[in-house]
Amino acid sequence: MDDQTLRNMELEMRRGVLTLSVLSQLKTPRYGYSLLQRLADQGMDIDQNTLYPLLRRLEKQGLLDSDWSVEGNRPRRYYVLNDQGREALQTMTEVWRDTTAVMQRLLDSSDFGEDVDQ
Amino acid sequence: MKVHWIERYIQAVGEHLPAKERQDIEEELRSLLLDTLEDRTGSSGPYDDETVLAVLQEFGPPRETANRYAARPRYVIGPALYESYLHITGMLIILALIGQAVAFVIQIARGDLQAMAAVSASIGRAVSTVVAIVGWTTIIFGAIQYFSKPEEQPGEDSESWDPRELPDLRGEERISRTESFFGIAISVVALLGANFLAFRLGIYGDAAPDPSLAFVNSDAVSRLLPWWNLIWAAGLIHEAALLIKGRWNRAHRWQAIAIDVASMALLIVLFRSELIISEQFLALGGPEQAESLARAGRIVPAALRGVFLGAMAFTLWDLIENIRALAARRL
Repeated sequence: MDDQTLRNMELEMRRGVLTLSVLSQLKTPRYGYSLLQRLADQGMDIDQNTLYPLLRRLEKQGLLDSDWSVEGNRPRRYYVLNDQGREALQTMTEVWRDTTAVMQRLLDSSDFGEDVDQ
Repeated sequence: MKVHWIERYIQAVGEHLPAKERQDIEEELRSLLLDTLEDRTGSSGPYDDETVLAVLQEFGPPRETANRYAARPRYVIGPALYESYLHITGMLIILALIGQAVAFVIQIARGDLQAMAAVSASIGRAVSTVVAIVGWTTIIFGAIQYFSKPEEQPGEDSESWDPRELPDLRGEERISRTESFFGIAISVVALLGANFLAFRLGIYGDAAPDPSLAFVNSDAVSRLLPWWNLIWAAGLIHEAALLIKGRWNRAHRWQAIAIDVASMALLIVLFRSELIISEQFLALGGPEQAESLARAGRIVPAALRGVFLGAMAFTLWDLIENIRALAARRL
């Protein structure tokens, strides 16, 4: 398997958790760049060209509210979870925990362990 | 001269965005770019060209950035074709309506048709023509959109893209093609109506080629007609020039202001609608006339005043908008 295929698989896996990552950090209002940095600080690097369209999509889906606010002399758009978003976050968090528990069991299973050991 | 790379980039991204979302996404993109620059340099600007260009290079080709923002990657008619679609549809509608208007005027002039019957038939024909044109152009453009493959322009792939090749910033405001076509259509109707139809409006006797009782005062209308023609022709040329240019500039704004002022002056004269209505028709309002005729004699001048008042309000609004745009250097 070449590096490109591996990279694509990694990207695909990360893409699946982006929405939950973003929702988890928007219980308080944040503008895009501060969210980008907060995610990066915690090890979740997202390309800026990916994050902003994602925020817009989540807003269109009715999970986020946004509002322009002027700081200094520059307007910034703040995003925050609304009621529907909080509900979605709670549900997705439960799904995530169930999934990671299942994955943990799968990865810890003897077959995989034997393959790795070899 | 300072090169506004960020604005150039935003302008280039905006070219690929749907009109409805363009302004919102452009503002958000500007905010993101400035936040990124502030973070990189630790200052709120100004930023040197090298830093700005490096950030733009990271953001990638404008078309790619726009595609990420676009709510739906597939359209019936996408942004690349949409302006042409509006352009061609509008042009076809105008040409078809002009053809029908000319045919209508000729038929009326030859006395082939009864005025009221001809008007209702013409309205029906015009509506079905517009619907047919919109339908066919939509189908054709939809088919072009469906079968065409997105073409990558030179230098637009991520590796070879260079922000230094971004097109110059146009210090002009985009025009609304729909408004321009509407303006052209109104100008054509106003010119044709005043020159060919106004003198033929009236009450007709049996099979008479000319009205036995004309609505308009021929002398007064003939005196005002050159001014009317001058203003509407100037408006028509102005709209056509805007459409070709695609953007406002200061000269266009000044032209629009001059046309608005001249229109306002003429509308104030026309507001005294008694000037342009024939004396015989005005006399219909007298008590000695039959009730229906007397009512027509009262209603028509009042309705005309209402039309001119509405036109004055619209012209004043347009004038204020043009002055505000000029003052704000929004061009």
